[in-house]
Amino acid sequence: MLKLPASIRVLERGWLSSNNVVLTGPEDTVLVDSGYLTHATQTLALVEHALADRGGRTLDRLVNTHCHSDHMGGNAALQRRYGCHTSVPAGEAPLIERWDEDALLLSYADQRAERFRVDATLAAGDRLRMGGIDWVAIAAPGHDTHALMFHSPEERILISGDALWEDGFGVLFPQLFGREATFAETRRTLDSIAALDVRCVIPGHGAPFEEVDAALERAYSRLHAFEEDPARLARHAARVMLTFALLEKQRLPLASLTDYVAQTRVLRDINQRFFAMTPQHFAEWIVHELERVRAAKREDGDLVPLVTA
Amino acid sequence: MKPAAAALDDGVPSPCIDVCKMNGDTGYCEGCLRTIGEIAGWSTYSDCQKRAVLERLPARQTPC
Repeated sequence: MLKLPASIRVLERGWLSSNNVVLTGPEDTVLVDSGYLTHATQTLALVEHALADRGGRTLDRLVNTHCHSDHMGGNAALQRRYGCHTSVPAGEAPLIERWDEDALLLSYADQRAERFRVDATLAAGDRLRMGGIDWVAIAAPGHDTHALMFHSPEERILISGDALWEDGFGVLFPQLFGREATFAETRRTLDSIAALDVRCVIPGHGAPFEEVDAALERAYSRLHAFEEDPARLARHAARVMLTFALLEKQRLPLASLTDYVAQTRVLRDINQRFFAMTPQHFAEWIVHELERVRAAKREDGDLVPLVTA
Repeated sequence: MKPAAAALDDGVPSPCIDVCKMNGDTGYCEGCLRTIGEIAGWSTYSDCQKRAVLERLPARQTPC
């Protein structure tokens, strides 16, 4: 069984919300990543429980590995409740400050988040103290160009965000949207992780894990497959985007999907750039794909998510 | 983000289905039927403890 220091509590969530990591140190308590907007009430209840468990602490600081909707959706609510000092990666701060709904993949992807206050920024190389432990911020471009990971050399723990999961990593959106350096950046991020002394990864989604080499091997293999066939990345992204919508809405009428893929700009753009199918064919194709990979099923005229295998 | 496939290792997969809404009357999550304590404590539980939680869940379903 995985043993983390007593000062670190991982609140393992699902896929719509990122994991939330509560670090309780002698001086203060920090939360890394706050889940999705529609789960904010649950996130607050979980954080409150974790704080009470540590002797009734307050939440002093909030840190984001990156500012995708599923990692920052609870920020505003947490700020209202606790007045926590909030830091985001330096590269994301301008997007948050002007609340760029396209660049943040919010309305562009039919996702939502609540605007929040940025108190400070973090950059690669910054040292921070969380949970009575020293951490270093490490650049993790790939899935998100400006993402950070946090490594404790002393505890040999990596808070990886969406840069490395037990099986895979977050969709390489920047590559899809024309940032040609993305594959190389992703490879360098994996190389950075491989060069660290890590015994335990706390990923943005899924359980914390210790088989780091095996996870890296799977990640390199997936990256290679995308490099060999960029349309594969587009297919993967289309599946993930619709699955996210299904997890948020819990069901989507099959009859609405043609319009959905035509009107949701991220899906429209992926289709136009990579597949050039009619919206109807694209919708049928995604449904078939989600059924094939057992991410969804048809039920009473709706498409519903299948979260467990 | 992607839906969880079966766990790669022997680990007991989380029952979260992304509903994430506590029912004020029952004290259980409307999606996975765990208590807040069980959700918050999940990552600290042994596989044995996790299985014990999963076994308790079906009995918490309110009949329609």
